[in-house]
Parts: sequence; structure tokens; C-alpha cells
Amino acid sequence: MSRASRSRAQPPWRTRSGRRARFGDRDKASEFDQLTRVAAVAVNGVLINHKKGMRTPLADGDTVAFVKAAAGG
Amino acid sequence: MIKGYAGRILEVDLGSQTTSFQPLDEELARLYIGGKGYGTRLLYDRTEPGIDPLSPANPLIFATGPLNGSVAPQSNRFAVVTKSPLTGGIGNATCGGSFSYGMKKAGIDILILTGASKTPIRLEIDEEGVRFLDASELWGKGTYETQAILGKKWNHAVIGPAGENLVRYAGIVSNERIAGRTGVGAVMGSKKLKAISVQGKRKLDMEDPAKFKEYTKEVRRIFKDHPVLGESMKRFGTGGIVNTTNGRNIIPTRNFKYGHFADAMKVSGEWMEDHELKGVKTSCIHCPVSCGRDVDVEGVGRVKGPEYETLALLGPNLEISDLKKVSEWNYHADDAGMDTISLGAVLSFAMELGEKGMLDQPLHFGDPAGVTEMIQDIAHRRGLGNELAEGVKRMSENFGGSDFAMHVKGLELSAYDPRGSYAQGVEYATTNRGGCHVQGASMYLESTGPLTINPQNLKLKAEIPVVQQNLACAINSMVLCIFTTYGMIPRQIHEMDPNSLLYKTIVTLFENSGPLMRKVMGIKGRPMMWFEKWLTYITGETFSSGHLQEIGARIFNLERMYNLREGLTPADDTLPHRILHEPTFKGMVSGHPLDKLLPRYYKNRGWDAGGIPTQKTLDRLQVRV
Repeated sequence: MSRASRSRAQPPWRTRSGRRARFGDRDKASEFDQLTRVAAVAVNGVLINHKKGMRTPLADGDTVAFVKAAAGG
Repeated sequence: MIKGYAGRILEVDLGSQTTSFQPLDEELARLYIGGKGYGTRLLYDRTEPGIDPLSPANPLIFATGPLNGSVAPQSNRFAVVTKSPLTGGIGNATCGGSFSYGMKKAGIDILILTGASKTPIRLEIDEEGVRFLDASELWGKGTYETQAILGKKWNHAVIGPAGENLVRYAGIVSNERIAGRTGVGAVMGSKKLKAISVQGKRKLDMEDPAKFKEYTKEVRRIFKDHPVLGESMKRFGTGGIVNTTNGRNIIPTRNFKYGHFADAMKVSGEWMEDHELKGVKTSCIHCPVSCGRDVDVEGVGRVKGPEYETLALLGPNLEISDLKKVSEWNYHADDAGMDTISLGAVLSFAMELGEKGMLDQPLHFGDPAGVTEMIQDIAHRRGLGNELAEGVKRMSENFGGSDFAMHVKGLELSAYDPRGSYAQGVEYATTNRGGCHVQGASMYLESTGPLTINPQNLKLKAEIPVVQQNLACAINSMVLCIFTTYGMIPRQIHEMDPNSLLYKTIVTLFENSGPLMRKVMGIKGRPMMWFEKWLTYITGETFSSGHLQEIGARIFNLERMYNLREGLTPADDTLPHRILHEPTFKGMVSGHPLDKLLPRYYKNRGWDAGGIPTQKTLDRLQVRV
């Protein structure tokens, strides 16, 4: 696989232009990227790494949450 | 005597007001450590099958372990063991505060209370002995006022009106902490015992105090740097998990009908930090985690704030998002001396019964009106409160609604919905005291902690509960706080990028480790974790993960045998109908797959297919029954 085709296979928010196209604001995109590196993302309660990762499709009314490791008692 | 123990058991007959000291049995201390383990052994040996939990024949056992009385972080707890008036099986609860410290200072490892007084009394215990004092003037007073009257010189364990009136989920309070579960406070109330105060000046004898001191400093550093113990819990308290369980769809909402509450943020630790908390973090003695929070309650002043279970079960579970109200109810429940987990469950059950026309009662989901009054009515068994004081299981027998009665073995479920946390469901179903989360805390390994395995497949879900229950049995026998186990996953794992290849590899390996996990945990080698090292430095005996797994399994099997003796059966290893049959996740067609996991769990335990411990297993673990 060439470098170009690998690049095309990347999720759009992995590239600066893709983030700009999808999210518009550069700072917000950067913030999103940073958050996904420190917190897991859940869609309707299920972590996206048990779905399709960053390619997990969203429907109207879906709940998206950033979840950190935490403990209670 | 093995180091770390005072070497004495104090037995007090409340009926005849006589006392006796007995030496601690070294062999039993080696087999069961102390705390919950030793207490369970005493309960099994000293009672006839079938006793009434609220009769004088039921002993109330306060038990410490070798770590109590030391300055080890989180070593401030004591265990209470008795026959539960809520479940009819093994009853136990642990509590922070300062009581265990006082017991060891007074030179007592275990306190056994037998018989019952005819009039309200209290005990003062120090190195010189026991004094029986009249408590008529304290009877009827709340736990806060009672302790204030008794003064700060002593370390107290007291009951409130809920214990006095035999509310089946009444607890025993020390400082602002409570031995909440299984109704241990009702047993104390049945003995007309209002308070026990202890103090002394004995020093804990250790095998290697220098190593203990040096290593404890290092552990304090580890805790301070740990993302959960040193950051999340320290900053937000246990309420810091609300947004995580809500995001993972496992926060009980509307009597466990749903796992997500849109306004859960408003009862979270983060919200408390920003809106309600007045900057006061509280802790049990010698604990650097400081998970407690003081909040201002209108008309009362600054008191202990609600922790996670209370936030969830009096918040989203009732569809309430008013943190001030939850704090107020938490205060009233603490002052009355009752378990807020069971309280939240009986309130939501009553609300749903009312909604379905099965019970004429004034409470409604999403409406705080009437809740404060109902808490008082429960504590004093007035009117409808008398029915709610019986707990969810008995209420469902009286009014119907067993399909949505959220309990296991009679103990109300705590605030992690098993439909999004399968191992936690197996733990709820099989734990000997009933539907409780701190007898293993499996949810931390599968859904709320840093290892993001899939909590909704069958991998590892019958193995995690076995390992975690064994470990919790050992921890509750030292007696340490279960929160210490949250520190076992190191900072490095927490800090990994969840999308990185290394992190995904670690999670995949863990999720597929199957029986290997149990084998690795069962290795009897050198002490690795801090509690293993502390035990080793204090007692002079070697404790490793394998030793603790074996001791924990021994305690767990003894509890199981006690339950079977008292009439519980493997059919009680189940989950509420709602959890088994109603889905909460999009795409989920049924509930928790317990039927697929339970046979595997029994096999891992060394029990027969019907859930009975085999003689071979009992012999291997030296469980004498």
C-alpha cells in the first residue's frame, strides 16, 4: 500500500485539513483530538473501540460521552 | 502471638452484663487473618442454625485485623459480622472512622456481643475493662448528636433511630462513616445497645517496624500520584464516577429502568466541587485519599456530603437532579443511621409500585416532595414508613412487583447496572451478602476503570468475580478499605492513549486471559502489592497474591456454607427479573446473560454444577463445616 492510499484511509480528523473540513474551528478539532487521547468515547453507553472506532456512525438522538477511568464506592 | 494482633477477644454478655477475655486463636488468625474472615468463623461456630437475627441468640461481632492500629493508609476500618435481618444469611459490613483504631489501642482484636439488654445501655471499653452505662437519655437521638454528647475523647460506634426501631437496613456509625449494609444496626438495636466507646494507649507490635515505616512513605507517594486515588477521588470524591457510569449507561435510573439520566451531571462530584462543596475534604484517620466531602445542608450546617452510591440511588434512581436535596436526604439517613443504598432502592420501588397502582403512597419519580418526611417515617417505623423499613424483598412479598424489586438475596442492588457490566452482575448474583458492589468491585476491571474491555461479552466475566471476591474477602479481613484495590492498576496504564497499539494490545491480552488470570493471581510468591508487604512486615508471615487468593476463597466458601446452612439455596444466585429480561442498551434484545455465566463461575469456584462447594474444595481450602 502506498503512502498516499494509507493517508486516504485515515479518519478525516487525523489530518489538519480533515479536521478543518469536519469541525470548522481548528481549536475545537484539536481539543477533540486531545480528549480522545486521554478519555474513552462512548456512544449510547458503548465504547467506540467495541464498535467501529472513530468511524462509528451516529444517528439522531445518540448520546456521545467522554468517559474517564474513575472509581466509586 | 503473631505480631500485629492484640491477642485478645473480648466477649460481652449484654443480658447478664458480664464480660470475659479469651486469647485470639493463632491458627484461625493464620487461616482467616481477622476482620470479616475471623468474624465469619466465629459466627459459624457459635450459633445454632436457624436463629432469629433479631433475637438475643444472634451475636454481633466487631472484628479488626492486623493492619488496624497502624498508620498504613486506609487501614482505619473494622468489620461487623452477624446474621442479617435483611437477608437471613451472612450479614457483614465494614466501616471507616476511628473505632477500629480505638479497639486496637484498647488491646482488643475482636469484640463479641451476645444476649440483649432489657433497657437502653452503652459500653465504655478501655484497657482496664468494660463499663455498662445507662443510655436512656441517648435513646431516640441521631448519630450526630449522640456522638457529640459522648465527646471526642473516645472512639465511638453508635446507632440512630433506624437501628433502635429495627429498620432492616439500619447501620452502625463511626464518626461520619457507616457500616451500612445488611442491617447490622438493627441487630445492635435489638440488643438495646446505643453506643460503644473505646480508647486505649497500647502500641501495635510489629515484626519489622522500620521496613513498614519506610515502605508506607513510598505507598503514600504512589497514592498521591495515582490518577484515581490521588487525583479523581481526591478532587471529586467518589462522586467523580457519576459521569463515567452515566456515560457508560450503567447508572441506575428510575428504579433501574434505564442506565442513563440526562441530568446526572448535576449530582456529580464535578458539580459538587463547583456548586455545593465548601472546600472541605474529609478522610478517615491516616488516609491520604480523602474521598469524603463536607457540604452545607440548609438548617443543619456543614455535614458529610453524599458519596457515589447515595448520589446515584437518591439522584438518578429517583430521577432527581437536585444535589441540595440529595445532600439533605443523605444527612437525614446518616443521622437516623441507615444504609442509603437500600433506602434509595426502597424509595424507587415504592414510587414504581405507586405508579402502577399497586401501593397507595405519596412519592413520585422526579419530585422531591415527601422524601424527607418518608425517611423520618422509615427511621421511626411510622405509617407507610413501617412497610418501607422492611426492605424491597419483603415489600414485594406484601405488595407485589417482584419483577421490578431490585435486590439479590434480599439486599438491594448498588449503583452499577449489570446490563452494562456483566462481571458485576455475576458478582451481585453470587456474593454471599447479596447485591453489593464492594465484595469484589468487578466493575472497576471491566467498565469504570482504565482497562476498556468489552463489559458486554462473556470473555473473563466468570473469572473476574472469583478473583475480585477472593481479594475483597482478604482485604475486608485485614481490615483495609476496598478502595486500595483501585490503586493496583498503575498510573502508566491510565496515561496510555486509548487508541494506541500498545494499549489495545494490553486490553486484548487481558480480555482473553481467561483462566490464566486466576492462575497468575494464585501464585504464591513474594509480596508485591502494598497490602501484601504491610501484612508481611507487620506479622512476619509471608503474604503474596496467591496467599490472599487462598485465604479469600476460604472465607468466601465459609460464608457460602453459612448461607446454605441458614436456608439460602443456589437458586438465590440470581438477578432481578428486570436485569435479566429488560434491555437498556440500543440493540440489546434481552438483559444480563447470567444463565451462560453462572455454570462457568461455579466451575471456577470448585463447586458442583448445582452450586454447592464440593468436599474436595472445602478440604483444599481447610474450610471446616
